[in-house]
Amino acid sequence: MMSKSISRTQSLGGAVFDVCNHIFLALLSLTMLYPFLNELMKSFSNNDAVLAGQVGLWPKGFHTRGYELVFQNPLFASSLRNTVFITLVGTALTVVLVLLTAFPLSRKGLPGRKFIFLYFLFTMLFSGGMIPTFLTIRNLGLIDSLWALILPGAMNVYNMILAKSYMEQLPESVVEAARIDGCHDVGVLWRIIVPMAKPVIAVVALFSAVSFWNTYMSGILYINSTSNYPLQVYVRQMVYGDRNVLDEMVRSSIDAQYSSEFGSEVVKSAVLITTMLPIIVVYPFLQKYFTSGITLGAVKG
Amino acid sequence: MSVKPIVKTDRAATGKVRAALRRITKHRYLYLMLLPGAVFVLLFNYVPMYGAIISFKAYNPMLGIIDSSWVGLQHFQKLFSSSIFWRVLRNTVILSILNLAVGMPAPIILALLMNEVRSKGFRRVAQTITYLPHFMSWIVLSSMVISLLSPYTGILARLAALFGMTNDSFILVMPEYFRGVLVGSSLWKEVGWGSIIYLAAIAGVDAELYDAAIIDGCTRFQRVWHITLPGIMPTIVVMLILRLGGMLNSNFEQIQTLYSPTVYSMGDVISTYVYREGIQKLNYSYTTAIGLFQSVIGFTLVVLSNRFARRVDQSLW
Repeated sequence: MMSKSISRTQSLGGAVFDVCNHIFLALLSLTMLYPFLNELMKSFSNNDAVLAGQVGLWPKGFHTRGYELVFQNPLFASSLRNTVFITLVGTALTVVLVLLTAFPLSRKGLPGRKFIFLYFLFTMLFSGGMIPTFLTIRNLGLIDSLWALILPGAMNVYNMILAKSYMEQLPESVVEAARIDGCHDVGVLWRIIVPMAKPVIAVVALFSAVSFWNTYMSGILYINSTSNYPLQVYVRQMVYGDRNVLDEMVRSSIDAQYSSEFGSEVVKSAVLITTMLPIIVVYPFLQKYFTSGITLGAVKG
Repeated sequence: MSVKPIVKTDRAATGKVRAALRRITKHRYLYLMLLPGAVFVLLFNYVPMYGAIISFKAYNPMLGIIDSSWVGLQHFQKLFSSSIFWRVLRNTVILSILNLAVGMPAPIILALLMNEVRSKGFRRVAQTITYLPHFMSWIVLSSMVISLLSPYTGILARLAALFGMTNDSFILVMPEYFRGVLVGSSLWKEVGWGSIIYLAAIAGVDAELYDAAIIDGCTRFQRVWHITLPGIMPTIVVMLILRLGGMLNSNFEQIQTLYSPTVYSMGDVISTYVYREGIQKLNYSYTTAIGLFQSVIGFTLVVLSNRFARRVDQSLW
């Protein structure tokens, strides 16, 4: 009551600060959003206008030829399919592996629990390096296979620690009660823990889906043939690889009347927007779990 | 006389073993659950660690890791006498320091400013926008950086033109600006996301302290300076120490998608160099040696900083 009435009587300095703060944060947000909006506008604009630098936050001319070309491109379609595949399978596998390891390690009575945890934790602290990992993948025969993009990162130890600390905070009595009722460990995990750990499962699933969607590095390391490229690698190639490929694609697809409207700049923007779209769609769901994801991580970082 | 006690302890020992075995069999499903994860980690983390021994060998793909011949420290000697190695190490460390100097205070300041906003709607919109770049791949973000900096179509050139300056050189290929571009684009991607942890810490500061300060006539700035900042100091210290531990890691995807041979002098780091030398030029043993050097130093830094963080953690909380 007291504090409310006092803080409401603003000093002039405080009012000036409030205005400046709002202006600063608004400008900052706009600056950070501008590249995204600009890309969106360019993807609908006249190619010559884009080249002349005339497109800002509003399209010059309007057409969807860029998107049409992107979706007619067979290699874009196959890379999109690849990425959808690794995202779905990879996320499912990650969630299963994380749950299966986090649950036993959260049981305090498990003999050897500390040692087993250290076995997992150590992989976060030390790595064999890029080349030995590459050679291992090659020896396993996974080069140029989509599984090379899924399996190496599937057992995500950071996520496992996240899930483990969440499970450790669940009331012990529920587990004990279930066990007295004759539930064995698998049943406890499936029927008791999984329903109670839904928030952390959502965090793990969403965040690993985003990271599978953004797979790039393992793509350039392990994939050779264009038809097996994940989306990000193909987009990179298309946008900043061999110039002539994109130009040729544009030239072979258009009739004369589009020539000033349509060109590689527009296609580039359309590709980038298409690549971002799924993340923008799940973004509201992600947002719901931001704070829990971060503060859960802070419990044991 | 003397035999009996031995038998007794033996029996006690076997009893213990049996009890341990019973405990283990009781938990057999739990161990079984751990198995798949353990196998994944073994295959994709521990096997490569073993594979790192090729940094002491002349690795020949036809012979494999075991049958390739030992060469001792030859690769490391070559490494430490190579000027390129020192260049990429220097670039890695300098970029980490720059990223730390800018990327550490920025999210704290952003969190403090966000916290002063009272309009829930405004705050929500600002947060939604500033968190967004964190979820985008470097491929997408780098492409945007490239087009922003482009001398003809980019907004930078247009702003410069407004002030009567003409600049038809491409900033991204100019070595003197490259580190700035990296630090700036990292800031764009991570500043909002990084502020979340500080916002959570600020929310945890005891509200009564603020009420007391208001009664004592503290201004808003004084409240931030004397209450909020000390309140979130433990979080700041822990975050700082953890970042120090990651000193030798640099962002491969960011640099790989932004750099070009003209800026190698400023922007080529350990991971990008290992990628070019190892994957593209097939210099396996030599680049594994570089990677091992990085892993060992990185491991030491992380262990030291974690120990330090834990001590701070205990003394402050």
